[in-house]
Amino acid sequence: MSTLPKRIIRETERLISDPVPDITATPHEDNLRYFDVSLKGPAGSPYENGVFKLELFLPDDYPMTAPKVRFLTRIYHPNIDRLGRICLDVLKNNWSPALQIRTILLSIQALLSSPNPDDPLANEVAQEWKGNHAKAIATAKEWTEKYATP
Amino acid sequence: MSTYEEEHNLNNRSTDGSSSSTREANNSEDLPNHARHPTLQQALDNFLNTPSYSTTNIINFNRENLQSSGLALEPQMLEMLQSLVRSSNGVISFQDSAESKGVDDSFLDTLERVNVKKLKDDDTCPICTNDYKSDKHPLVVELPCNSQHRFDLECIGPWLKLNKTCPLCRTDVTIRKNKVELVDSEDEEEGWDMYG
Repeated sequence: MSTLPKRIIRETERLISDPVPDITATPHEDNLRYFDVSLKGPAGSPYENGVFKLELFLPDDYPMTAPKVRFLTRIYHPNIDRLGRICLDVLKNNWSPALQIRTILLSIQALLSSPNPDDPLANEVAQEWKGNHAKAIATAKEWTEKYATP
Repeated sequence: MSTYEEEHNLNNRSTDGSSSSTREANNSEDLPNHARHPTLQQALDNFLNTPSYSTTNIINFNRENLQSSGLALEPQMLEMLQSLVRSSNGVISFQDSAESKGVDDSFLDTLERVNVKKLKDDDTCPICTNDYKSDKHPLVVELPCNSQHRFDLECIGPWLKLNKTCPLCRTDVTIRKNKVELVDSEDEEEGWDMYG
């Protein structure tokens, strides 16, 4: 097995000693590139009071390529599909090696506060979000209660 | 000591998708007997190894071509071969576009070096997050977008070869450099003509 780059060790240590508010990221003991993430739904969003589980994996060429992140908890959001895949620029074309695990998780938290139905990944959700906003918000709250309440 | 590339497995990025799918084709159980004939293998290998590998080749890769190499092909077989070629073409054009997105080695050589005396003790490289001065002889460069956008050369090199943007501000690093290069190209005035 190849050695873990110092940057990953340093990032992991800081995630534990100085965690991002409302976010935890814990590496697996047997694979230090694989993290269990939990993220609190932001206040004022339909995800408030929910706790969402995600998985995060650092590919071999990280930080030259972005971490792979996916929601494990079901979530009703126009930019997250039913497999938990996330449509977020910094995870794709706008990745930069100066970004870190913590900045990516903050971006995901921000995406929960401000969904972008004009660049949808989950088409039906996006249509509902634009066509019948009140109902979409209600569904998002319902799902939060159903799937993301600890 | 392992280099940055080794740590990040950046060396062996070449994919051999075409050769592995060729193998799959040969192992496939439901191929007709005559399709296992070695000349098919050769025809395919020749085709895939053609240096001027282009869309034109793909278009020409049809029944006539294969029949001219003495092979009678069943329709499913032909279809399979064509889809095989299409998929390996996908791999190759993906590599092409990935390459054209970045800069080459000669561009990296033109990056401005940062004098070690200018570095503070706790300055760190934004990519590897190591203190520059933890290395006895740090090789630090600044990008043309901003004199404070500094990186270890061994960290920024692999990134710029894939993407020509500054990791800190996403500016295209080649834009200002082109002008600088125009001026520099006047330098090569060494007179070797005295040796006739």
